[in-house]
Formats: sequence, structure tokens, C-alpha cells
Amino acid sequence: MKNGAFGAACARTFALAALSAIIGLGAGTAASAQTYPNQPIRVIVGFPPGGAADLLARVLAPHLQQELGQPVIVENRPGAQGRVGADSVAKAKPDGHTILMSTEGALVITPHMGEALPYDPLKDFAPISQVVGFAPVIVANASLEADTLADFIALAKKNPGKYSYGHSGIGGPNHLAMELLKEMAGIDIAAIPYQGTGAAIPAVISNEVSLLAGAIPALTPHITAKSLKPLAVTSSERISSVPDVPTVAESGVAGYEMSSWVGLLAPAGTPDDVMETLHAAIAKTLKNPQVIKSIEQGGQTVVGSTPDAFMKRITGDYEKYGALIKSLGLAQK
Amino acid sequence: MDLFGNLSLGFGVAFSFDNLLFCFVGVTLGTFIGVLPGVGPLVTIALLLPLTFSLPPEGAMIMLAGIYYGAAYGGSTTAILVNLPGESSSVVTCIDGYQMARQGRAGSALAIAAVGSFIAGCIGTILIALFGPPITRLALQFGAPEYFSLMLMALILTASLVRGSVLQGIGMALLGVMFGLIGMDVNSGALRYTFNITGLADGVEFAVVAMGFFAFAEIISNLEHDRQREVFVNKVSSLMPTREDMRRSIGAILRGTGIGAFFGILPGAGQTISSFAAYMFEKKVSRRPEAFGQGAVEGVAAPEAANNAAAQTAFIPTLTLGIPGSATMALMLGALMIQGIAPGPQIMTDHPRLFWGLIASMWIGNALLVVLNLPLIGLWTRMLKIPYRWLYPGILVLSCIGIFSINNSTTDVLLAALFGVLGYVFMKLSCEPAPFVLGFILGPMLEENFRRAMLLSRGDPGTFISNPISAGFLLVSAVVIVAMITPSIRRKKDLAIDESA
Repeated sequence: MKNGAFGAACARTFALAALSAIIGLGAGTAASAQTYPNQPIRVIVGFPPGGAADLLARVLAPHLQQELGQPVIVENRPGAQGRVGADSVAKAKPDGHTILMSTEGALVITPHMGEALPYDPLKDFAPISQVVGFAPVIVANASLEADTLADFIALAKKNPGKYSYGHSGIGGPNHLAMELLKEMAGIDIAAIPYQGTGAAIPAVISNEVSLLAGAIPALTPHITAKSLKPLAVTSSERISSVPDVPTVAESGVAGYEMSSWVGLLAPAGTPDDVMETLHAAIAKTLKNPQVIKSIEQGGQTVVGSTPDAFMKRITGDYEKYGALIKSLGLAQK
Repeated sequence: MDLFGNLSLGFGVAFSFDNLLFCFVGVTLGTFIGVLPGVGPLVTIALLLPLTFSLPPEGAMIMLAGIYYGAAYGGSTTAILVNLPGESSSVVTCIDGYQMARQGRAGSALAIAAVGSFIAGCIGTILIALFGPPITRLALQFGAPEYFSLMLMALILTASLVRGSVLQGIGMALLGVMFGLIGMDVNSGALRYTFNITGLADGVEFAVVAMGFFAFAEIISNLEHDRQREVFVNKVSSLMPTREDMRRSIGAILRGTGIGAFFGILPGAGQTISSFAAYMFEKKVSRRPEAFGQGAVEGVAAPEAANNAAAQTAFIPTLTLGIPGSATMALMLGALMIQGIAPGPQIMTDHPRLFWGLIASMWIGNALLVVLNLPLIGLWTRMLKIPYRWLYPGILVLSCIGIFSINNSTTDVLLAALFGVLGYVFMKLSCEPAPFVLGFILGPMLEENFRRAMLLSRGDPGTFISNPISAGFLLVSAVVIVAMITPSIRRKKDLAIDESA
């Protein structure tokens, strides 16, 4: 018993010594317990490995580690469309050692879907920076008798209920983008859910569904192979990787805009100086040419906004999606 | 002509020193993580992903692919040794593989699994080289109605061929379907059977069910008999398969390869269905169906060959259509995207070095797995000699760590314990777990495709019959059901199974 306690104490001392040695090596300077960061930083991703937020976190982590002088670990806490991960950060100690890499879903879409949320998406987080922005492209089966979105809208108006579109999941950005289009253009096409864009691609190639809204890099090869034709991008401006594809607004649906983002957030109450350190680290990382190249190859645009601008984006989107989901009646009762 | 040109290009890429090394590192790592219960290829690939950013795309994909099939192979090792399926496709290997291990023939079972996988890998490589592009077209023939009918047929066949009554088999399959439906409904977003537990919102992980049902239940039932527990581990006899084993297996391996290569083309369901289908087919054509479930070597050879062939042909839709067949595949596609290569129909022409290099490296990887695993068989079987009181608590602890690591969720660990108790109860009631597991995996896909087909046909169920492929599958299902409820055939089946008991 006594021996055990002694052994444990020894082990603890040894572990502390080892830990401080690692910290010392990592930071390159003698780190005291007060300075931030003084322990590994966990970046929580609310999805399993492989999604947009996860890949981005893994691209950024080694660079953030270099900037911050502490190991930066990507931790997947999947569940309930990102809500489990978001909740774990909302309730984490606000010291900057636990931060969230989130898509818009858990913060501005799911709060309106009718499920009780264990956190307040607008009050429980301190935004650090929007990292990237991206928007889906709407593609059609190659045999569709319309080559532009305007033609398709006219066609769908003549044949209500005849056409259908695939989307990557109920309440997801691609689903909402198409529902907004249906509402604004006044057309009736059936929504067919698939488990992710990957599963919906063969469906539109084989004409099981006529249209699909999905991530640009996943669809570009099929556009090049002419097995799919692009109709429009949903952002307010054209996208550099597909410069010939017009926006939905250009195609006759004035005022239409839908785009997605991934951003970094800390728990609310994180000290100002810690927030500044984190923002400076991410801002510098997003200027690294290697990082920019990886992000752009993934079909996304580097943003790197200030905390204030990111907060504004979150509150703006929160209201926009709230109104859309309400008018579409998508919320669970 | 083209075939040799493509393959020689592929082998040229794969045989470079760097790529051989990546392949070796991948399969070695894969084998070891496959052997650790619950620590799957997904977690490993996610951790190694940043390392691959700086590698050339060929090297990166070769290494990740090595982890992928190395882990599948390692998963079969634990299935045979301790009844712990690492992947959904090795559930079937448990049935006869574990029985062989109990009879002291673990070595033969492991060797047959390695040889079977290797032969399937060789044939798979040639099939892909010959039929790559047409395979893509075949995958596109399968829409929602075809998938629904195929899965229905798979479920009915499995349920009808188990020991005991057909009704019980179908009951187990239905129960599996219900457990599979836990979580968020794809069509409406509504939560079903979740009882407000956040951990259930995304459904129950397959690894949780597999570990509870097979490994934990087996451990609980071993606790019943106090003394006999260590009997089977003392007579680990032959390490190598006998001539008789080889003779029995070779046909099974070839048939399994054919079945696996076909089902692998169908993303999502293919790999799991393929090993079940190969097992069922083998039992059907065998001259001694009564030996199945009692440690029949064909019952290991056929599903192992099938799942390896399927793992290989599954790369075709993944690379040419961008459809990930599994979460691991999705992650590998993500790795390709970061390299600036989008999967698509042009991948064979735009990136021939990557495509054919990967195909060739699969063959090399399979060869490496045999070279690596044959000497390891001695080591693995010796593990069984570890006293029961050390070995099984160790497996329990490692399994729990593995389960926790999937989602970082404690709910999953508790669920695995619950499934362990449930599995034990089923064992006592002699209800077979295989139809339950297949129902659990196929249930959600069955429902999804049924509802999708109905949405697409605007509510007309005729879509399942007017579609020729779908109608064919439904016809087979109907014939099986009629045959099973016809008294004379049922009596014959019972007789055959009774003889074995």
C-alpha cells in the first residue's frame, strides 16, 4: 500500500518532469504555467475523419503547431451532425486549449430544425476566424433538355412534379440551397435524399435524378467527361475553378445566394490575449502558400476573417437560415 | 495489348524502391492495427493523413491502401483466434474459423485465409486490368430498386439457410434491421428509437455490435464452464494446412473470388454481402453441408477470398465515380483531393501512373501479407496459450479502448456491454447471430433504397417488378421462400442439419 503510493508519486513526478521537458522543447523557450499555450491544443471536429472540416483541420494543424509552439491535435467527436463536438467545446474550459473547427451546420442550421440544443450557438462561442468559404455547383444529367438554369426553370414550370434532384442529406447546405431555389423560382421538383454527395453522383449520371447540388471538386471530373453538365453555382459571384459557370442570380433568380463556411471558434469567455494569439496564428497559417494550395485544390477559398467579421457572418446566417427553414416547414415537431 | 501495357506501367511504378517501402509500411501497420480489437483503419489513416500531404500521390495512396487491406486481413486473424470480427466482412469468418481454432487448427485456418486472400488478390488484379471501364458501367446499372431487391434477396437467403427454423432466422434478421434503424432518419431527419440519448442519434456502430455479439458473448459463455475453458488451447497442433485442407479449399477460394469480385462493384453493401454470399453458396454446393459451422475449412476459405476480391474491385467505383464504399474509402478520397486529384472517369487516362500503380501495388501488398503472415501464424497461435485469466481480460480492455476510440464516446462502450449480454442470451436460446448482423448492416440501406425507389416512382411499387434486374432478384427471393415453406424440402433441410448435430 505504502509502496504503491510512493510508486505513484514517483510516476507523477517523472511524468511532470517529462511533460515539462516536452513543453520546453516544443516552445523553444522556458514556458511558465501562466503563458498561453502551456499544454497541447485540441481542435475538436464534430464529424468523422474525411469531411470538409476534418480535412481542413488536418491541413492546418502542423502549421498551427509551429506558430503556437505546442502540439495541435485534431480530435473527432462525431455525432448529431456536429452538435456533439460543438457542445463539448461550448462546455470546455475557456483557456484556448480546446477549440472548435465547425461548419455552419451545428451553429446556424440545426438550431432551427426543432431539436433541443444543449448549447447556445450565438452566446457560447467566441469566433476566432472564418477559415474558408465554398459553394456548391448545380449539375444536371447530360441528357436533360435544358442547357442553362433558366431553360430548366422554364421546363420545370411546364412539367410540375416531373423532375427530381438529389441532395447529400436533409437540412444540409446542399439541400437548403436547392429548396431556396425551388421557392424563389417557383418550381416543383422532388427532393431525393442520399447519404452524401458521393452516393448521389451515380444517381445523376444514370439519370435516376435530373439534378444535383454538390461540392465542385467532386463534380468537376464528371463535368469534364461530359457525363454531367453544370447549370449554375449558388454563390453570389462566379467561382475561379469553374469560371464559365454562371451564378444562380445571373440565371434569372435575382437576389439568390447560398454559400458555406468552415471556421474556428473558442469557448465564450476565453481571455482576450489568448484570442489574439489564436487569431494571429491562424491568420499567419492562412498566408502560407502550401496551405493555400491545399485548400484551393479542395475547391475552397481561403478567407481568414477577423473575429468581428466572423461573428457578423454567423449572426447573419443564423437569421437567414432560420427564416428559410421556417418558410419551408422543415423543422421537426 | 493494352492489358500488358497498363500492368507493366503499374508494376514499374509499384516496384520502385520508395513505393515498395510505402506498401510494406502500409500492410505491416495495417496488419497490426487490424489485430488490435476496435482500432480500425479509419483512425489509423486519419492520424497518418498529414504525413501523406508531402508524399507523391502514388506513394500516399499505395501506403493508405496497404493499411486498408492489411487491416482487413488482421481483422480476420482475430476473428479466427478469439471470435472477434474486426470488420463487417469478417463476421462470416468467425463462424468456422473460430471453431477451427477451438479444435486446435488455428494455424491451418490462418494459413488458408492468407492463401485464399492472395489467390483472390491475384485474380482480382487481372479482372480489374481486363474489365476496369465496363465495371464502372455495370455499377451505374444499379439504382434504388435494384439495390433494394438485391438486399432483400441477401437477407432472405441468409435467414433461410441457418440452422433451426426459417421463422427464427427471419425473426433474427428483422430484429437486426430494427437495431440498424436506430438514429436519424435519412428522409425526414427525425430521430428514431433514440430515447433522447445523444450517443444514439447517429445509430449504433457496427464494431459495437460485432464485439458485443461475438467476443463479449463468447467470453461470458466461457465463464460458465469452469474447467474446460483451456482445453482447446492446449492442442494447437498443425500450423500449416494439410493436403486435405488445401484440396477442399481451392474450389471454395475460386468460387469465393468470383462472387466477391462481382459484389465488390456495388458500393456500400458489396463487401459485406460478398462474404455472406460466398459462405452461403459454398454451403449450398458442398457435399458435406453439415460440416459448416463445425470448423469447415471451406467456410473460412470462401468468405476470405470473397472479401479480398471485393475489397479490390471496390476500388473501381471509388476511383472512377468517386463513390466511397465505406468511411475509410471516403477518407482516402479526401487524401486524393488534397493532392489535387479528383476521382472521376478520367482518372485512368489522366493519372495512369497512380491508377495502375495502385492496382499493381495491391497485388504486391497481397504477396507481402502472405510473406508477413505465414511466419506470424506461429506467434498468433502461441498467443492462445496465454492463460485464459490473462488473455480474456486483456481482450476485454483492449476492445473497450478500441470502441471508445471510434467516436470518443462512452455510450458506445456501455452499448457493447449490453450487446454482449444480448448475444449471450441469443446463444443460450440457440438463435444464430449471422442473420441479425446482416440485418443490422443491410436494414438501413434496405429502407433507404426502398423509400428512394418509391419517391422516384411517385409512390408506384410496380417499379420493383418493371425493372428487369430488380425483378430477377425478387423472383429468386420468392422461389426461396416457397421452397422453404414446402414441407418436403423443409424436411430434407432439417434432416441434413440434424445429421450434423
